[in-house]
Amino acid sequence: MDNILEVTNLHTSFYTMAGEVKAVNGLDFSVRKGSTLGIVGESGSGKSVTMLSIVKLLGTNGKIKEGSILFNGEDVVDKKEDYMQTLRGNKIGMIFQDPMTSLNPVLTVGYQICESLIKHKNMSRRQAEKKAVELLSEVGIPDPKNRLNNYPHEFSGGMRQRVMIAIAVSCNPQLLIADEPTTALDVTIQAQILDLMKRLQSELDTSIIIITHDLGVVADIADEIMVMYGGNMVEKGSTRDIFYNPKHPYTKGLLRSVPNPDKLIKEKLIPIDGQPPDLLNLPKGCPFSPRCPNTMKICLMKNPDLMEFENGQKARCWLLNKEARAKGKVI
Amino acid sequence: MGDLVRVENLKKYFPIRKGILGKKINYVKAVDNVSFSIKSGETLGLVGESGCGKTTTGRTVIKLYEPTEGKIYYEDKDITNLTNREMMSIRRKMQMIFQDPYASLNPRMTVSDIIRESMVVHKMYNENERREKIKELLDIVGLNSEQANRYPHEFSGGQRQRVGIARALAVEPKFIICDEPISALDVSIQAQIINTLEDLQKKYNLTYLFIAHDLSMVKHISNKIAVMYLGNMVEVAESNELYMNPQHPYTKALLSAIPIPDPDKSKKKKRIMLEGEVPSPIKPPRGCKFHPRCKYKKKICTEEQPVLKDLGNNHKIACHLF
Ligand SMILES: Nc1ncnc2c1ncn2[C@@H]1O[C@H](COP(=O)(O)OP(=O)(O)OP(=O)(O)O)[C@@H](O)[C@H]1O
Ligand SMILES: Nc1ncnc2c1ncn2[C@@H]1O[C@H](COP(=O)(O)OP(=O)(O)OP(=O)(O)O)[C@@H](O)[C@H]1O
Ligand code: SF4
Ligand SMILES: [Mg+2]
Ligand SMILES: [Mg+2]
Repeated sequence: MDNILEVTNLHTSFYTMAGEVKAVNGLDFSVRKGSTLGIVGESGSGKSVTMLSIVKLLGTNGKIKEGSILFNGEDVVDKKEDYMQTLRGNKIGMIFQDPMTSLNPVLTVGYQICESLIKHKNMSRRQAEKKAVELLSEVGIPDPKNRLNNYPHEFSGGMRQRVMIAIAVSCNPQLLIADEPTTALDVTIQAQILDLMKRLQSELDTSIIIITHDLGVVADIADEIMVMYGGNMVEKGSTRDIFYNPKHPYTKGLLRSVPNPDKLIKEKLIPIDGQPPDLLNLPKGCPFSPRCPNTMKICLMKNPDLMEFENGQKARCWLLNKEARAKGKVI
Repeated sequence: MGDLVRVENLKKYFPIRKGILGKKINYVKAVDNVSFSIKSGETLGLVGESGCGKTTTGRTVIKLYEPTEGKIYYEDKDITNLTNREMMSIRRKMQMIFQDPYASLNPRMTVSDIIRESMVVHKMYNENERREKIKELLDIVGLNSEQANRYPHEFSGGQRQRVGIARALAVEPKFIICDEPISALDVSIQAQIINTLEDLQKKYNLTYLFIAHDLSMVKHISNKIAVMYLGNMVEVAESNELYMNPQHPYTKALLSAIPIPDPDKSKKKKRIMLEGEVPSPIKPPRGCKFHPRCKYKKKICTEEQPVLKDLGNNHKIACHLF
């Protein structure tokens, strides 16, 4: 079996006062053992919800409506909470997007790192503390021994994020899911964290899913990239294919939006105009159609299927369908 | 053109207290002797390691924190020791856009109430005018007026950030501190927000202090860039100059670590690794605070703190190599 994770036809919704928020709509993807998948996409496109679905932390109003999630070949969708607890923080390491809410404010940082080592790895408190000091220094926290006794609020935002990373890698997970792990960090520490993740991967064959808005980060660390928009994948391929041969207009627009710092004369940035779709009322056709520069009639009527190319690249766009393209008038 | 904001030898120390008596036992020297100025209508970018004091600098400049030492001038007027009441009229002209659009908007208020609130606080306009103004502001930041009665959680991250911008603009500020305003957004929306900020700057002659970790974006929007390390400013220059010709060993390491959104170039890139541990702002190293991690350090670096020196063409650097 070469896939550590296989997600098929995943539908996840939140039930709110205003109605059903369809955060993920029929997502299919897999992660090869020992490889790194980068996920990029619109804010609100369902990246975090996808990750929370995998570890089943959707809160009281969230629900996986349909689909399967195979971790090591075993479907977790119908598994009970106590089974999930043996995975979380152990076989699956998680770095959440918001470090403020995922650290417990009334427990010391040291206690929180040691907790999972004691629980999952049967370490004594003394062993766990020694390991915790090592971990904190690996993520670049100065004076780690003394810092163990600090509470989260005594750390800066970036330092809290690094504590989360230390906890996530502490039990040598088979799958590390990192949701914006480096957004609050400066580039030197970011580079150090990415190196740590690469090292973990080469030493322990860890598989990694990294969610980020920073295209530089995925260019550096990802083997494959998945691009999400409006609750689904719109494109997936090898990192080189996505950067050098993007197929979907959203992917193309993303790549164009990045400033080029080598230019001496300032040019205006090229954003994609318009706003992300409303998940309470998804458009009938392609969710990107209201912002797409190439929208055709059919795009407004029907969401395109995923097209697969010989190189394994996949994209969901009517422009890639020869027939639709021949018939379709750009509107 | 004159300086809108000038800061001289600014310090901000946070006391660390221990025990029930709250005895001060030490200080976090978050900002330790920083000087800079920003010309009216221009943008100063502020970059540096996380925890080096960027946010604290920003908050102290607009006096959300009382400075421990140093002087702050706004339009050449010394505002360092103004009382809260005296600050009132100036505070309106200095606004802040916060890093976290989720946490900085009151979830129980509609978007129009959020924008209205700051006008009410500063007693600006009558109610009719406020309503007009809100419409106009939403339009400027690219939201439609139907959205005015919605609550923050009903918006995407990018839209929320626009609400934050509209709120900051509502009171007609001249100086805006943008603290990581775009890092939570996808790059196509980042580009929208940056273009909006630039258009507004041109239209209203706004002055920005722009704090971010994304050095490519900082370079794009800033006229000058200042680099901080552990509470000190170590290098300041025009943004092209700083980017093309960095001099301080820390700046060089920082620029070499920028991830490049191009897989082939990224593989070829040589990174300057920083040795050693990040020092603590509670017990900063003597001499140059960067010396424990610097591979060029000389004897004097461990003894004496270097001061900012002008290398010509307004490129300033604090390092004993120069
Ligand atoms: N607990 C919840 N209740 C209701 N809606 C939710 C909840 N959590 C997420 N959503 C909605 O689900 C959608 C997808 O959210 P998600 O957090 O996955 O976005 P994302 O792609 O991670 O975005 P970002 O890049 O901003 O983090 C959003 O529209 C969000 O508002
Ligand atoms: N209210 C406070 N009380 C005590 N210490 C503080 C306070 N605010 C900040 N600090 C400390 O001051 C130092 C500088 O913090 P600051 O938030 O200014 O850093 P920053 O450069 O904005 O970092 P980041 O990039 O992570 O946002 C840090 O060591 C931080 O722990
Ligand atoms: S002053 Fe010395 S230690 Fe500091 S950066 Fe320059 S060479 Fe390095
Ligand atoms: Mg997210
Ligand atoms: Mg900050």
